[in-house]
Amino acid sequence: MAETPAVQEATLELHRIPNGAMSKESKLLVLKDNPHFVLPESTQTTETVAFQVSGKNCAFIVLPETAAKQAWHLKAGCELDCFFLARGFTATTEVHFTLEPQSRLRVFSLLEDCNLNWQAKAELAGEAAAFFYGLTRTAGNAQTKIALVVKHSGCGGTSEQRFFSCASENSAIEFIGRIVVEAGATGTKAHQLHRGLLLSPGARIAAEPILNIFHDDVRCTHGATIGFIDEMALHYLMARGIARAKAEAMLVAAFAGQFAALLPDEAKTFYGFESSDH
Amino acid sequence: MVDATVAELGGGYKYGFVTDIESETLPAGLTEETIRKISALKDEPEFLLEWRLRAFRAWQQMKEPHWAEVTYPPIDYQSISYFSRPKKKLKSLEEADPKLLETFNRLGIPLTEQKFLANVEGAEVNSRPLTPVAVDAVFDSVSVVTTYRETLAKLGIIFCSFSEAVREHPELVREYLGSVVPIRDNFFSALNSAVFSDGSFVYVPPGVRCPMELSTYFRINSANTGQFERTLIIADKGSYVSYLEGCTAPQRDENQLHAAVVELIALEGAHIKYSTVQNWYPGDAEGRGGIYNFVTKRGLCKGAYSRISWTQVETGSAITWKYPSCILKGDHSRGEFYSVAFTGNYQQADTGTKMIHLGRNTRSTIISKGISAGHGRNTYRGLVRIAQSAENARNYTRCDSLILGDRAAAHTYPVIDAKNPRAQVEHEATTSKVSDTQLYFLRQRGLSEEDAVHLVVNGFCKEVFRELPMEFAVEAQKLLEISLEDANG
Amino acid sequence: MVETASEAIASAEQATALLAIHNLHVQTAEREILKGIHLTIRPGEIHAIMGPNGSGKSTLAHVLAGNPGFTVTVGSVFFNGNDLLAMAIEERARAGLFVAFQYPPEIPGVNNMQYLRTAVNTVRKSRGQSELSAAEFLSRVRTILKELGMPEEMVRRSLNEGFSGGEKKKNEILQMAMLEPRLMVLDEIDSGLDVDALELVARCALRVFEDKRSERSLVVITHYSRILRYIKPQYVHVLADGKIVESGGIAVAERIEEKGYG
Repeated sequence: MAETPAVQEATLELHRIPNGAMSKESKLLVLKDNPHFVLPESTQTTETVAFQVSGKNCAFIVLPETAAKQAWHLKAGCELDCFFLARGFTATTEVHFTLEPQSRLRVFSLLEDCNLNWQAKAELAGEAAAFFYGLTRTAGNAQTKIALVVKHSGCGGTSEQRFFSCASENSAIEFIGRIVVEAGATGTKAHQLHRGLLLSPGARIAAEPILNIFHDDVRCTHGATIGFIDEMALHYLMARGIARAKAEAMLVAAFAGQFAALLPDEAKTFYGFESSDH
Repeated sequence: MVDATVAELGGGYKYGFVTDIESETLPAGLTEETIRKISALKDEPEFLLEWRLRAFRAWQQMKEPHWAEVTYPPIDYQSISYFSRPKKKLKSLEEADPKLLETFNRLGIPLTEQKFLANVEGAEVNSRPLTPVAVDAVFDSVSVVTTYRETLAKLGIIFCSFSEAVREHPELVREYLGSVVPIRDNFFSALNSAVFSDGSFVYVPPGVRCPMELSTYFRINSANTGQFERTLIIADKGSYVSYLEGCTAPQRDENQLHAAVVELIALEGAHIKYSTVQNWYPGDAEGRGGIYNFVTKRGLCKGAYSRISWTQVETGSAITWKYPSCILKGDHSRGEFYSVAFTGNYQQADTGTKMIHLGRNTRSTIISKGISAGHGRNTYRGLVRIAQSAENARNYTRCDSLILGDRAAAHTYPVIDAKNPRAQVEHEATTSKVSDTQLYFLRQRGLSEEDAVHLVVNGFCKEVFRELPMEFAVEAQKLLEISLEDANG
Repeated sequence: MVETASEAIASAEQATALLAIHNLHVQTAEREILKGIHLTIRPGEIHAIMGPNGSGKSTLAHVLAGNPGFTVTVGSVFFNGNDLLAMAIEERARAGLFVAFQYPPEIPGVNNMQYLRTAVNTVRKSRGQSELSAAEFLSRVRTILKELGMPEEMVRRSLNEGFSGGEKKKNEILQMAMLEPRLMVLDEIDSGLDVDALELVARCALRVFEDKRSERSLVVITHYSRILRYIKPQYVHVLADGKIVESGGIAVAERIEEKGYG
């Protein structure tokens, strides 16, 4: 089970959002150089919680039963790592990121056995960078849906999406990833990858990697695969004397390991992966 | 950089002329009466009229779909004429109106049985032998001539107009018509089922390898006329056939509707190769006129080890809306889709494929190349569905977009839906432009900027062009070059 | 009036030289890279341009070829008496300027052989020469392939796609030999080549030069002097910070080999 890092004091201020983008009761949290920010209890609300981020920050977010709608605004030059964790929840989560030029966002998500609809959107103005990495695992009858939109509206933005989906028993995972490059967003680089691993005949994985490109001077790629455990690898392990079930488990763990490998060390324990320090 | 080149030349649409020929045309409008008239004019058996009427009633309850990434003003289905044919009835080609012959001559389509397309250039293609091509020529609503019929008949191959098939082989038509694309499949297929006028029919008997390319050439001539052809190809056990279609239309300021339905059936071990070079009038540089090409094409790999390959080069039409698809029902069957779609000026294309894997060990390959220039909008839309029964199914999809100029747009909507854990689905896509470095390099070797763009674009399309029969590959390449030159008005 | 005098010399050079570069200043969007280059190359000459990384050597090659990423702010370049800077990239190539790229791009789907034939015939046509027949073209290609130790399979592949660094360089020289240029500029042709490949490439380039020595010139742009063992230049120029800081004979290159740029 994940160890939750100690709550660190955040500069927490309550504001009204002036431009009416959110309801009047919205809360605005100002985050500045918080290496271990954990979403406080008070934010477990159906209202939108808004964050304004500057400096270098890490946010650990364990999705509550009634997941908050979140709006994150990254100021120019800031860095933010968001770690989402949800286990066995039924909810709809909406997370909206807006990035000023020169800001850098990394979002990690581990969603396990959730009847969850996780919607995330990132809008990049100019030379910002956004990276989304996710591992979704489902079993039983769980149905997880991820809808992610990354929109480039200025020049020179970079974005990456890497999602790993692993469905067993009668569960289903649906991944819809969209890259939008607006007219004039010269020099945008966007990449998206989805890998699906189906473990049983009743399971289902659907992937929709969508590109909407309105500009010529861009480089966008996406890739998606869905398949079973690599038979060659399985046979190789079995030929070395490992039982089939064990070999399969090893390969499933290796699949998840692709996500774990992307994590910074401090997040590995949070998600329950072995830290590479060991 | 590319913009300048694309704008420089203005070749114009070569096939935009109108043939002044006496036609009998039904007045505009669509009622049950219209359908009875079409059926009567064609002297159809009762079952077909019934089928048409069923389709018409279904269509009346359906709504025009608008989910595609295309925009156009509403179509008034009552302002279209649903039937038009040259007045003079033909008993043989010699009796044909010389203007009609002249039309197909100008289009480069031989209606007499002779050597086909001798003007083939290009060092690479020279090594492949020229084969004769049998042609079914459809002018507005009717087939005017079908060549090489006797030669084919000796092998038991039936290649004729759809109307003739209804008269001569009603049992085949009855068995297969609507078996792959049911009446209610979609709005346009229902419309087509109600009012279709003519088209081609092919039957290849068991074990026969069709010795020549079969080809249908569609020409819309009359104004305010829709074209609704129906093509049905049946490849019996272990047979092979390669079929080509081409199409053009006069240059007119109004939009014209083309809503065809193509059904392919491949029985055990049969292989159907279906190639399209679509060059309907695309509209002018301001986006006026052009054909609405709303087409339903689907193949059924019914038997084990059967195979259906779609290859399309789409350069024409104001709007293209089509998804040649394969239902892979037979175990070990294979579906393939190779596509080049070009949109310049204000053209819009929403095209792609569906590969429905039902049988075990089924395989599919999708290679799609979209090119947008000018204000062109190009969308790839695909579905790969692996049913639970499709043990060991495999799909590989690659869809690339090339954007020329900063007003063009490219969209990709691939859906992958897998329900079998032994399936393997792979999808890759890229969107990019012709790189400045590539152009700079090619110009440093003495190529002009246009030639350099052509070369890179042709290279981009190579994987698809090489799937086309040789004559078509050369034609497609030239067509693409002309389209590139015209793309920016 | 120093300027007038140097311009007088410049115009005299323009008349007799194959390439006359006068006071060339070049910049990119960010900074000035060439800061006043003077260089005259006559037919029959071999020049080497040496210099450490970032000295501007490759920029010179790009400016000669007409790369739109570089802007000439001051100066002139005359090629065979014509204003090179006023010519489009392809006009320069057709007039007989060939620049072998340090990093030739990959062009997927474009057949190497077909591309080469298109380029050769386009250039020949512009020079008033007849197009090469397929047979003649093929026989010439084969001769050069042999000379460069390239398997024929290389020309049947897509242009530079999946080629190793060395294969790309050989492919550049193949194109050069087929296009029969007057001024050949080899931009770091030696990078990424092993000793054997370097010798083949250098010998082929030298052979093309020797074939019409009275009309042709060769410019070798390089960081290291090892290629100069095969191609012996009469003139060696050292470039540093956008200027030619030293010109001399082969001895200059020998000294650099021994002591570096220091």
